[in-house]
Amino acid sequence: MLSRRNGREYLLAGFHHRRLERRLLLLVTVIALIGISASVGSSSSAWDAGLRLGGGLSVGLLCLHLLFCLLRFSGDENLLPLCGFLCALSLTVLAGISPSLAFRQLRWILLGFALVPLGALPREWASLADYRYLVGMSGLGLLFVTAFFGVEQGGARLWLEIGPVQFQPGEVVRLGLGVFIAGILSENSQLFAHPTARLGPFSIPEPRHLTPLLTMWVLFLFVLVVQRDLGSAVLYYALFALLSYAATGQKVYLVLPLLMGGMGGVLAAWIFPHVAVRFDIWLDPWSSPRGAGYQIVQTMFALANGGWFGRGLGRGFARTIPASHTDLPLVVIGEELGFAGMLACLTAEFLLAAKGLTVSVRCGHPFLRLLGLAVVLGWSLSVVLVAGGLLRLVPLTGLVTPFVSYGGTAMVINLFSLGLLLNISRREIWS
Amino acid sequence: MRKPAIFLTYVLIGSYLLLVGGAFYWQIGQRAALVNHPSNPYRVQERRSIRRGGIFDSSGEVIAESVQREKSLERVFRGTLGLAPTIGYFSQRYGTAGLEKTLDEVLMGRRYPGTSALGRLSHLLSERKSGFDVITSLDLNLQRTVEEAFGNRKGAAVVMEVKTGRILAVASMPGFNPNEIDSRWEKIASDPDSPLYNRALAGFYPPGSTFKVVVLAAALTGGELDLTTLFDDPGSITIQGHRIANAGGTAWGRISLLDALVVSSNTVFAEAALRLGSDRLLQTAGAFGIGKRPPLAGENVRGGKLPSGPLSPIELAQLAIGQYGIVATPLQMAMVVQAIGNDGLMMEPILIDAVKTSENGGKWVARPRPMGYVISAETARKIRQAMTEVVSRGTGRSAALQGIDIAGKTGSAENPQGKAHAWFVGMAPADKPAICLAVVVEHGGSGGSAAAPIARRIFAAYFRGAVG
Repeated sequence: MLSRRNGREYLLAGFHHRRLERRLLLLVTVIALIGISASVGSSSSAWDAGLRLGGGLSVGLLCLHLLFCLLRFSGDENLLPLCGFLCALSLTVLAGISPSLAFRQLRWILLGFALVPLGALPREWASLADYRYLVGMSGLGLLFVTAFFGVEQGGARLWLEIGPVQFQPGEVVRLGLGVFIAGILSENSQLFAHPTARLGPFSIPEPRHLTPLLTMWVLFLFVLVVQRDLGSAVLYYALFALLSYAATGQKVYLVLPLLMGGMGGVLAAWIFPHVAVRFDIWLDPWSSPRGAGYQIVQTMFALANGGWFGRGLGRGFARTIPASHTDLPLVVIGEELGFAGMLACLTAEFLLAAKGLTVSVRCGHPFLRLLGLAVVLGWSLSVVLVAGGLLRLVPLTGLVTPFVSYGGTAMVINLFSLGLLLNISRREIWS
Repeated sequence: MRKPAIFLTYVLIGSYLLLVGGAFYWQIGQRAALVNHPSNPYRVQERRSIRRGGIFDSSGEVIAESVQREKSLERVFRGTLGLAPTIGYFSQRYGTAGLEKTLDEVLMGRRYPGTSALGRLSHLLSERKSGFDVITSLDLNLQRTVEEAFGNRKGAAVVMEVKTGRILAVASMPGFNPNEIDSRWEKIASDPDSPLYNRALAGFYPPGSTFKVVVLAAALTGGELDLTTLFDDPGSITIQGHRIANAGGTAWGRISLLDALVVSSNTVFAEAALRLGSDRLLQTAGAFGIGKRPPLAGENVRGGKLPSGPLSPIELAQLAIGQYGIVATPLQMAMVVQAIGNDGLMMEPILIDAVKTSENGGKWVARPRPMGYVISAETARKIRQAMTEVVSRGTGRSAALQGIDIAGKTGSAENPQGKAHAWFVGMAPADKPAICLAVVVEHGGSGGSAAAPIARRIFAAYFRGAVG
């Protein structure tokens, strides 16, 4: 038992920790308060709603920080502020659309914050690898249940209804899939790494080690065709390919999935019209500016209206596009805060991914390293697919922009993933 | 792990740069094209939120204005139906037309009509809540007279101020009600009478005998022919196997050029045109602006047609009576008489008198702009003299008014669609014209009986301040 004096010293000493994180979080607090208040001011007269939203977010962040300080948590100090900044952007966008939406999102954020320590503190997550098949099978089961019994919204069946609660299992599946792939790859990477069979001039892994790849390919086509979710299909598949490559260092795991994925995509577009429509609209949205091309055409207008510094918070129209709070928060940012805001948001996502990549690569534990990579690559792929879709670099998909889109499931899972990443970033498990 | 880590880092950085580049491309590179795109909702929204400037007649009476109705601004047209094709409409659903389209930027307050740099700057910096008011040269009272005179007949009329070229009335009949554009679009757009079409500014009609004033101008300008030059009128002549006859086949015998205009002898004017040659005639017609788009801003202003020479004798003879290869709009024929009334000096037509640029009375004011002398003052005076006699004792008698001398010319333009189009062009007072006009009644028959009485009512209303 500590004496009272020692206790106080202990607390003060804890407070000397994580100075960088504290400063960054204070910066985020300022940005959140100003941004959200300005945005609320444009949509309703209740200006104090801005203070409550910004304040709620800041208090949540600072509580986490304080907890980390007290527990002498040694994890990375950049990740939390970066997430906080993105959450602030999210609330800014949502507050402009409707404050009540922003309050709901804040509740999800705070719930997610509560899960951060759960991911960050326990040392037992490494043994999650032992349950890889259980997790993987649960994920698959969830995917099938959604695909067959889910609620259809906007042409894709992505929602599951349990009583009054609606949630999007796609995000849970992604994390489960990450755990599963990281599990089997960390166990078998030696086998994967030494291709023994030969096919013509190429050395390829033994056929039985290709089973996971083929399974994933089938899963990819399943999601694409049955669930009609191009974004998730590509995401799962690319996640698997990149993780395989990262685990083994064998280029064949990049090239082979790429070829198979491309083939599958072309085949699907050829057979199933709803896949082909996605591609047609990508190539020529003006062919039906009020129909299938509506979202992308409106996006182009909104982004252009933004210009360098935007039309000002609350002065855009992108917020009036249907599903803007889930699918197009980046467009709202691009219009109201301009190229500058877009750059800030993309940079924050990039830094988050870069930092996550660094801590994952540094991690000594093979499973946790791959798990960290799975989390980071999941986020990055989402950003690339969503932002790339809006900027017409790739076909538009309805994926979630991590930490920015409105959505409870995604926010909670992503914040929990952040906790895992923080866990991985602890100095104790570097080697 | 090293190699894959480096690879992933490169992929990450590459994707980031690609996304930033994409954002730059759309937000900065393509900005201008997309922001000005007509279906850009930002522009649509701006239309809803900014109080669009009003359109007024010269006395300040409202022609079109934006009115706050419940939550949205609504465009309300208060002019006459025959004015609608010229003023146009402003609809969220069907876009804009007419003056509403031509002056869109000004009415929305987006473009400063003047050229002062300071004005433009201060305009850019202040936040716009409303657009600029536009004051037209139109006189709604006169406009009403014109349309009442037409009744339910089809056609068009343009009334201009001779000295300045200001358009006082412009009627395209039948018109439509711009307030019904949203509710009755299908019906209005598919009406076989094409009420959306601006007959006054863009309607192509063969000018018929009204073109004889242009032939007369060419003849008098040359010098070898004069009002007193005598011709033999056998009632009809045959050129290259084609017969050109007077109306009713009357043979006027030995007759002066002036009298030939008074009775509108086709034979004599065909003969005169043959003496002048196609070059001279086409040159004079071109100088009067036939075949050229009048310098009036607007998408619905068109230029008519004039054949290009050299013409064969029969073509030339047909042209002399306004029937071969020539079409002109009522605005163009009004400009022809305007030049004759203004001692040969043609003025640019004016439809916009002023634009109110700010609440404190800042104004951009249009100035009359001469286009140049088409004919000499002497020639113009002689033509006016002949035209005066057309109304006092010739085909245009039904345009005559007590106490005021009117100069005019009738026309009955044959056309393949049916009865001749009835024309009347004229000005008053004849010795020092104040206003001029062109009236055309589609398939109205003879100009003297169908168009001249309309002109008479217009002149009467203008000079007596009431319908006479």
